[in-house]
Amino acid sequence: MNSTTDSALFEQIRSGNSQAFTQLYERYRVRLRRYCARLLNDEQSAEDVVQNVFIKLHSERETIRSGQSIQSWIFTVARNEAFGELRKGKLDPIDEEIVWEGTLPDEELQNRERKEIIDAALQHLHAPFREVIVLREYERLSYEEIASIMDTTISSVKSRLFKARKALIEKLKPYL
Amino acid sequence: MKTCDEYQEMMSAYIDQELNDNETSQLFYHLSECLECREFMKSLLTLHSAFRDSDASQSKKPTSLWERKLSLSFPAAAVITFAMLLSGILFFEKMNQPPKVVQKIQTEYVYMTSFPPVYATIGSPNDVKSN
Repeated sequence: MNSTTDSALFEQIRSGNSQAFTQLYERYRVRLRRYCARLLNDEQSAEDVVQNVFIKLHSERETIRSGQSIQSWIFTVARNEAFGELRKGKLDPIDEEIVWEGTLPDEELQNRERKEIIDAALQHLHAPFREVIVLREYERLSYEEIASIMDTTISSVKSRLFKARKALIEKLKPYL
Repeated sequence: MKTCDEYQEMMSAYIDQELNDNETSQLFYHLSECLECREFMKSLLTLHSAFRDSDASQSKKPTSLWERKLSLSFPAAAVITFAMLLSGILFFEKMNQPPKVVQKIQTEYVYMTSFPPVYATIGSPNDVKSN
């Protein structure tokens, strides 16, 4: 197991070590692709976003602040890229009360495997709620890390997670 | 005084291990009194478990200290959480009961008032005790 920290790897990248770059890429590639795929619901676009994130990491290595969390930087850039892809560069203003995006008919959930039910429900959550669930439940990031990535407060993360979970419980209870 | 909705938001933070000891204690006290919130807690744990199960096939990498050090599966952690919840409920129920000495007096009082005072015909209570 490689115990080199992200920051140490990043310092090596800064000094031109390409192996360190490969190591950091391998460390995040799978997680980042999965995160983007869940945001975009498209594997190919997710792969493109991951490539763009690492190209950006390399090209902006001199300007990334020392001491900044590399994980947060990577996820934040991925998020911006994914939303850019999703909304064609425009982010809708966030309405903290609209949890669902469109409707999720019960017929879409019946006779499906539990994993498919969860994926279907996630895809129908409004983007800020879907995102907070993905970052917490799948990426297992702390509230502080999520707040940093989503450029919001810890209290807003807490509130969105609660609203998303409550909505999911109401919708999915018969299927869980 | 918090509402059930506010306590339910705390539950969501609790399963993410984002509550401090004082908040956890407040939450468990409320859970000991509110059936609706206990049901919500159960649903939250089921949903959380469903996410972890659905993720298990895609990622085996444990990321939290909890998983790395203890290697607990979520069902096991959920069982422990419920055991803790139950202990909390029992603890608060016990706190609401009168102290043992009061219970003893109450029991003796019930015992004394449940039976006719037979010693009136067979002798004094001391006589009965000595037999």
